Amino acid sequence: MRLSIVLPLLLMLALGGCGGDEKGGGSDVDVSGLKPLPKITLSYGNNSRPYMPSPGDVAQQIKLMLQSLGFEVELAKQEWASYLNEVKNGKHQMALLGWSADYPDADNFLYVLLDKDNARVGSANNISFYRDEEVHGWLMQARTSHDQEARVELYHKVQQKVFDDCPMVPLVYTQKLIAFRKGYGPLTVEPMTHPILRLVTEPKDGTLTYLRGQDSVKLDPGDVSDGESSKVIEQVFDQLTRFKPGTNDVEPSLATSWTSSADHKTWTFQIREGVKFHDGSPVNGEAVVNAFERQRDPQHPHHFDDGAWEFWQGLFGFVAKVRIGAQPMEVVFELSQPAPPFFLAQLAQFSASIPSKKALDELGKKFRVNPVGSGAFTFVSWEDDTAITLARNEDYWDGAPVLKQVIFRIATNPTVRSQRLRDQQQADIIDNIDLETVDQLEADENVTVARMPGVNVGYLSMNNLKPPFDDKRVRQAVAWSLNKARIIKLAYRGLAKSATTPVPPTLRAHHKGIQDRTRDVEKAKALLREAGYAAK
Amino acid sequence: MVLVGLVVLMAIAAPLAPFGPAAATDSLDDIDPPNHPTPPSSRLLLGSDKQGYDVFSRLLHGARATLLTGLAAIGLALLIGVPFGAVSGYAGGRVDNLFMRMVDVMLAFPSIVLAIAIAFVFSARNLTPIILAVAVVNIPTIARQVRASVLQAKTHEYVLAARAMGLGPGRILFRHVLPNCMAPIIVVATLGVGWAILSAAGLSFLGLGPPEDQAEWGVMLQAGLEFIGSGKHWILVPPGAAIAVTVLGFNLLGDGLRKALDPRAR
Amino acid sequence: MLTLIARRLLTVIPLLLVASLIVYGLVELFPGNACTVKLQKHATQEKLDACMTAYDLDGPFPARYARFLGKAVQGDLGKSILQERRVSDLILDKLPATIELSLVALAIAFLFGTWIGTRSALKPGSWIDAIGQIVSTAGVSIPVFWLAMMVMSQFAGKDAWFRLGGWDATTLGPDVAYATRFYLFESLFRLEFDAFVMSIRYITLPALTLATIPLATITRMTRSSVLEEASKDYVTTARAKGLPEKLVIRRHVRRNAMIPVVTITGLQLGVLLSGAVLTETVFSWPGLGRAMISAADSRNYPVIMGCMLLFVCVFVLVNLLVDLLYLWIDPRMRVSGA
Repeated sequence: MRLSIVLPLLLMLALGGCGGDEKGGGSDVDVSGLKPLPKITLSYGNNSRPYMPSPGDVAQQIKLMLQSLGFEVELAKQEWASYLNEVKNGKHQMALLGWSADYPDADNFLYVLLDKDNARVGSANNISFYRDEEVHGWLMQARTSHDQEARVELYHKVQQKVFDDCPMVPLVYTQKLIAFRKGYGPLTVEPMTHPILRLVTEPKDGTLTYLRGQDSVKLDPGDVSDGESSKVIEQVFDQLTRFKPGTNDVEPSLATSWTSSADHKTWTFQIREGVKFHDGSPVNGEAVVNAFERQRDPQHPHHFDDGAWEFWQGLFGFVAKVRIGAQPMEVVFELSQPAPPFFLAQLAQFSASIPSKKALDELGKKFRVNPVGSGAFTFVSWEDDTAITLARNEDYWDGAPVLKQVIFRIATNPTVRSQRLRDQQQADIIDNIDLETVDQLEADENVTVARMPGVNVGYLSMNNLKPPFDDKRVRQAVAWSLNKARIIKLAYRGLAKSATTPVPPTLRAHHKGIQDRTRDVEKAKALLREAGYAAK
Repeated sequence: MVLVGLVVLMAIAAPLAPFGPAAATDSLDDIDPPNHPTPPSSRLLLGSDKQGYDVFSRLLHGARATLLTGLAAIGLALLIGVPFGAVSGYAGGRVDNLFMRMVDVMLAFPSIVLAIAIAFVFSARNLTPIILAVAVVNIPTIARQVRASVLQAKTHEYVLAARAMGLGPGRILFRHVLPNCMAPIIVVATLGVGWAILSAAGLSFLGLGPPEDQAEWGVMLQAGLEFIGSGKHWILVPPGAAIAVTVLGFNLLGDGLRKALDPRAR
Repeated sequence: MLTLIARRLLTVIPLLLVASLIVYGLVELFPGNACTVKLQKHATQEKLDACMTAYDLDGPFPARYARFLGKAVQGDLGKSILQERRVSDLILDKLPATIELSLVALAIAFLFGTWIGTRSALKPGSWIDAIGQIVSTAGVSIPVFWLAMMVMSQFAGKDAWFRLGGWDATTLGPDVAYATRFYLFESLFRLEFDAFVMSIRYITLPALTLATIPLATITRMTRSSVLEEASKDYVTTARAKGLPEKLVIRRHVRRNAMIPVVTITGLQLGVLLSGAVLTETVFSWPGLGRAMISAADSRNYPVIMGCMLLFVCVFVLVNLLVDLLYLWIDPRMRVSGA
């Protein structure tokens, strides 16, 4: 009796032991002296990013495509934090990552992702560890030249060289999807794709509820990095310059004009007269100097010790000092090296916002939950994880906005956000839309879905320091094996554009002339054989 | 019993599946592939998932992963829990006290919290993290059961006899006492397998399991999460039902064993 | 009795200490950290180091643990690395949703479980007994997250009465900004009918799903307990005295049989918390379980520690309470239970 029960149980145990067996042995021995293809690990982080909403899906498709060359591919999924740690330290072999721009210039893609300066193990953004001297030379030249035509030419050269060397494979440029209800709009976004709500013309004197996925972290412009914070900061603060709506060109904002010395190392800005912060204090040279010095100088009383101040070094590391000029409404930037050609664009992005000095003096660290700027909307209240309310700035220097009130609300689940927009439940505009619900939204006649080309790129990185990817031909073979159209359809639900270079087409320096590699298994195998590997 | 047999059969049959656990069912060269997931058809019995994999093949291969996880986790838990509980029960006194305090500490955690914490320590490349996590969480239950059985068996005459013969405590415990305690341990272990499969599936559903390309039922369910309310939620049925049937099978088997092995219940 | 309670309480303290050490140690072993996430694009080694120091992630383990413990005892769990809010505030935001969900689920499970259990014990072999059997086996076999997904799929849609996804002040009604965030209880307490109905529309599906876990155990327990009680001598005596059957059941059997059932219900709270982690994930319920998972994903150490410790504390305290309740109900335990 007992035995009859125990026996099958043992049988099961034995079975379980061999249940998890893996694929058979590696490649066969080759007569022609070719090495067998090594096993490859493809790493990816488990969380959704604008340039890659579902990394696991992308990874699986790439695995399938590499397998058809004969590679054995292991996927290594990791939590986002440990994943970043791995790639920044160069421990990966192959990895999926992407980049969203800080300022709309090719430099922000090519220098950051492919220059040898950014290939320092530990804090690398160039996680392919591509260290080409020629590319470095061109990039440095483009960083100092103020001749836009010459710069575009240099960037074209870089893109062509990078395409040939293939240190990484750009996969897609994604679109940013923003949906809004009928009766609201029109929608204008700044280059980083945050909506500019002062340009909304409907409904007149209305309230707009912006339903988003997460709360802001803090609203101190010099010391934030997350998109949900900068989204609000853009509405409350002005910068010295701003982007002409719908373009990447810079126009005057709080600064009315500027001049630079011949060596581009001294810049003088004239501050707009008669503008007031929301607390009534004047926008003047002192406030502008304070805005920058508090970020630059760690000893500054407004350089709060618990802040990360992370944008400063990367964007304005070359600023030696900011001071008041000959008159109180004149501000001088002294630089340690010639300003890069995109200096004025950097001044237009949110981290260069001008906060009220008076408010900083009075509020100290509490400024971050009580922001005071000079922007089109005035901060009213913030209820943690629930709502941030802004009101129209009636005295806005560029004319008061049409909307009377803006409320940022939160619904973490993307499906719920779509549902609430359609049900008109306290949602007039939503972003970070779930790809699965796009069709439903587009079918709804009360909803408009805007597809804004994002200034970003999602890419497949190969670690150029590690075999087999230290060989250019192997990297090219990988590129030849990819079917980007399939990846876009199955892993992006069709909502992305195939990428040819790291620079997205919204930027002027994007190289249109590059003919992308399209999946050609034979060509890929030939390259592998040339590199000394026995392809399948 | 039949249900468990069915799952074992699925695991054995896996190599016969029409496709590999993660193989494309259409051409990779196609620049306009079909809209996956596709519904069941005569070619793909249970349809394809969002990657274009064959759900039926993955279901079969998933049976292996599931059995392996459940059995390995409980096996591991037995390996540690049985000696732990046996020594504790047989030695008594201070050792027992210390051991039982350790068990108390482990029982102070809601099991999933402890399991999650353990699974997060490893990066998820295979089944190891969830197997370890589920095994550790199971140790206290098994140790307690073994201890109770040993305590009971200790008073029996054959133990006294063995002791009188001058046998060492180790020998008595492992040669004589433990074999006589096997029945309840087997019952607890069988029921534990069901529970282990359930919690392992939960962990891999939370993203702590193996990467998405591996055929595992929890992973398959996680991949289906985005299709809730999209009209394609039939993709959720096969893996979920498979887990439920397997766990039910082990639970019924455990209950059956209990009735068969417990003389009082007969 | 008092000394007994005190003694029990004292044993809990070292238990919690060791548990906190284990949690801290395990979390310590998680690879990577939230500073990398926070500084993602602009990380430099100095910035990373500064962040590590600021959140006390660097240095010898024992010293850090001691500092953490010292602060935790005073109720200071540190600040979230990513949200930069106090962890205790974050927890207070999320905890009410989990508590309401668990209690409603437990209530549903208790009501249905005892009803089905009693009925099936009194009428073995009837259809209700069959239902009881199915409920008690299916409840422990069906993965709760799968059930949750199936339920959601069935009820997803624009016009459904049930609402999917988490609630918050803005979804329940225009003026529902309760500071406590106990939306269900507070709206009832304030007699704000619309908000209450809206909360019900939100909480029903997740709570029903979650209820299946304890339902199985409670049904099983009730059935066997009632069966055992009904076969005891005093019941036979009562019947022999000619008491009506209904009265016998209500006065004697049910009352006595409920003691172990109440205990098991209390103990189920721990299991419920586990189920809540999964249910919350599927339903996007704004509770502690989901907060813990997302914090663990981004290695947000202070938040993970806070959530896990809270789970452990709640679990231990509930068990203690059940223990003491048992002592109070059943005096015989007072001697042996010590």
